[in-house]
Amino acid sequence: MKKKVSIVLGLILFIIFAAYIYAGDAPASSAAQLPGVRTLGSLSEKYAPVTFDHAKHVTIAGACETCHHHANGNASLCKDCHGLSSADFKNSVVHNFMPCSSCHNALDRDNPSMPGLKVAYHEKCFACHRGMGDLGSDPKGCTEMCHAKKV
Amino acid sequence: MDNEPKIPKNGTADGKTEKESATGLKNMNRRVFLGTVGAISGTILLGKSGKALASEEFEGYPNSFGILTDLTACVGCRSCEKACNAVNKLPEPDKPFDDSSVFLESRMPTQKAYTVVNRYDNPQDKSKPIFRKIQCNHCKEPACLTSCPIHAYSKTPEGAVKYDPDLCFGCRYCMTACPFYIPAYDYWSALEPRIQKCTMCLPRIQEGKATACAEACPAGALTFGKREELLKIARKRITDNPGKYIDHIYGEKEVGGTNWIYISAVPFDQVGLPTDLPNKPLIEETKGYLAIVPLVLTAWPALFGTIYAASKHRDALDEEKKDGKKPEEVEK
Repeated sequence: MKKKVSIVLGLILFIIFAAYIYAGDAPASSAAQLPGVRTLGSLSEKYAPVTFDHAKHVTIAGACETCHHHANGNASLCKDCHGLSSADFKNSVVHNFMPCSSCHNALDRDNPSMPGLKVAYHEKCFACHRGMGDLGSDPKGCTEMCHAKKV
Repeated sequence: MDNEPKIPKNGTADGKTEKESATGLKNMNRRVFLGTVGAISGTILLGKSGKALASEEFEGYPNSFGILTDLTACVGCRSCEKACNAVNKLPEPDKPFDDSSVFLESRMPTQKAYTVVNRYDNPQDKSKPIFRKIQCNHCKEPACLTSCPIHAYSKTPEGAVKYDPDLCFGCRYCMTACPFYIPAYDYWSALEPRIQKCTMCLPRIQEGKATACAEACPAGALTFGKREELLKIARKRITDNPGKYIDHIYGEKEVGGTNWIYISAVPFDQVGLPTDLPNKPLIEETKGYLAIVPLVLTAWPALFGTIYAASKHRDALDEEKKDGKKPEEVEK
């Protein structure tokens, strides 16, 4: 009897855990987990922080991997990114999200193939925002669209 | 002694600490300069010629730094110009750094701006013009250095071509020797005229930092690192993105290699880089001539001296014949 109870309890716990993992694994099915409007200000120095409408970009980009690394065909091992630190691992399991800054930090001249955070951010923006009349031909587009210049 | 004047001997490749090499560079220049003068005079005295002034194969300093410019990434924001201006404490520009009207004309670096960004038409996509940052390319075997009569230039192990204003006397040979037309002359300073050019932020490199321009670039157009690493990155970008780049790394071989290298989507002559340069260092062009100089200085006096002595001897013989004496008696 005791055995049956523990098996049932174990099953229930497993289902809850599986559901939790599944929910975490499929962000598209749980839009509440996706960031809405974010303020990106960790690099703010000469320019004001960027107000980034993530939800709006999700509808334009269509798929996460348009901007994020995950499952974009680079067959690197999970631990290469998720195992960087215990905090990163916990973060990626609990929130299914790793901040860009986990890998992209300040410029490292001994590791030139790793873009710094500033470059990582801008490269993603410039992937689309060039030749749209807002960036490229006129650098002023930067301060009009994304981040106003601090006075 | 006879191999002293090889170009790469300048600088501090002897494993000194960074601080030591920073302070030692100036002395080193003088030493190398004096050594070269000594070597040339020694060469002349000893009658050695030929290879004395010829540079041997120089592969460059193995751990030197460089910058990779990805011309497909630059958006023309001019952050690099602004950072360069601030780090080198250059005067305020006539037009602010966010004024895009500067792109209406083609600019070159000046004594007030060690780097400038120019705009070029993109034949593939009119809406995405190409921007190129122009500055000293820090050649592995620089023509400015070899043209300089007093070694005011030196190639440092860090990769930078360093200019020493204390040695320069203003002949401006370097300006005509540079295949990229980079050294700019400060005509406005009457008392202390100076050549001005990009320093590759040598003091910053020695502090363990990247160049100011590379640190400022938000677009990933400038990557700072070891030159050998950058060549690998450049090659990887070309192979990983078929059709995006032309299959050429500018500066890998041009004029013997430069520490500043470029990759591009369009041929490099379309963005103002000279594509008719030899893959050999420019000194190779003048080496033969330079090698003849000590030969002329040593051989000609001996040759003409012998001819002169011979003709004088003959005159003497003729004189003796006239007088009816035998040549043997003349000797006594």
